[in-house]
Amino acid sequence: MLQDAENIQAAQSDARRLKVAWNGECWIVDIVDCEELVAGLKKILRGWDLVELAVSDSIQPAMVITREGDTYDWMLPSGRLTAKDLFGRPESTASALSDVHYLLNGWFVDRFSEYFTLHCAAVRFADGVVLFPGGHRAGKSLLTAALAAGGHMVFGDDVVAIDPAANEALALGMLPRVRLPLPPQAMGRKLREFLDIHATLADVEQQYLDLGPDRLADIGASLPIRAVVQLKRSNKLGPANLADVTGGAALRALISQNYSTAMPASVVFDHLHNIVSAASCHTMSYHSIEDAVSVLETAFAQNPATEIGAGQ
Amino acid sequence: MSNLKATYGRNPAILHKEVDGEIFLIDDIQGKIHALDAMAGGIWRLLEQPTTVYEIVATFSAAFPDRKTKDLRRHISRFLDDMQHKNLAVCVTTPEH
Repeated sequence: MLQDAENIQAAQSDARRLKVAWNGECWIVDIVDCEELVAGLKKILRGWDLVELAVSDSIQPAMVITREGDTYDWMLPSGRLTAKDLFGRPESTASALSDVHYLLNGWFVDRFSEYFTLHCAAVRFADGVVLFPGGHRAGKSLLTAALAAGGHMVFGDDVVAIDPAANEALALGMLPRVRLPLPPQAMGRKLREFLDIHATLADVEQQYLDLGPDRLADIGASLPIRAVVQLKRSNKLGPANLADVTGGAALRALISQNYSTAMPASVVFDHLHNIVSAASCHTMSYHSIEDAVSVLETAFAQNPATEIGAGQ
Repeated sequence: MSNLKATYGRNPAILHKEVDGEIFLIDDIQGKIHALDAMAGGIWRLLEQPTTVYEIVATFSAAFPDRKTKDLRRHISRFLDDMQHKNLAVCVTTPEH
């Protein structure tokens, strides 16, 4: 348990220091007496440069994580933010990693101001990605997992960066997570088996999925955004239905999922407007996950130019 | 509750964008983007020229004759209060008592 700065300094002598770096910027985390978190962090990050450093007083870590019994704790020495201030002290390795994951997303937003981030999933179809903006219990993480099971590459299941200069989605290189318990009624045996086979770092509330490099994009991988699909999961039986919506309706959905606060609102608006202007925009209502995957594959498996027969 | 005889208008610092009939208000000072629903969008359009709650209610009553005027007045007053609270609309003049 972290109680004061003196305890932190004393604990750091037993710390393992990890430098998490990408594109010339680095984030340093001290992990004290919890080897499983070092291994876990190495597992959930893809494409990042991860280097162990000797602990020295000359560099202050961005985050210090400790463990007492089954409970983890962390603090950000710069801002004095602690686990208790944010979500409460994590009581599992998966939960502690989830906090690190969250804070690393925040660090990315702060450091790479040329990008902005959206709360959404993004999955590759042909030569572009489809964005699934976050919505309350819309099922984007489970659908992302199902698309990975179908061989599609995941760019993100929760947060995706946008490169506004190129109007592209940028992967943040983090393993996807599904919420637990899984909804049993709307999921087939194959998906359940896929989730079991790829399960890693789980607790009662969440489960990371250990996807191979063919199913999860490294940080920095980028592709044009070809569609925006708002998900509407239904408890009622019925076929999945993909319907066109206006760019304005899609813009409404994206605006509420913007995480970046550093950019002026008018600049963010223009960037989001560019996304919906260049992409096709849809809603998809669905009950069965597999049905939803099938509808998406039919709609987006081919590049748009091929779909309309251009160039023939 | 908004003063029914007071005149309200748009805050000139707020950017207004319309995309496919959806109205978005952009507040660069507070770093917020507001997406308006249909009724809010209608009120925002009326606020292009300073107007009173009475005038807005009269316009909506003519457009939606099946809606009770009392309900419309309540909704519109509440919306204007909210817009003032969010710095999107301003009270231009208040009648003397």
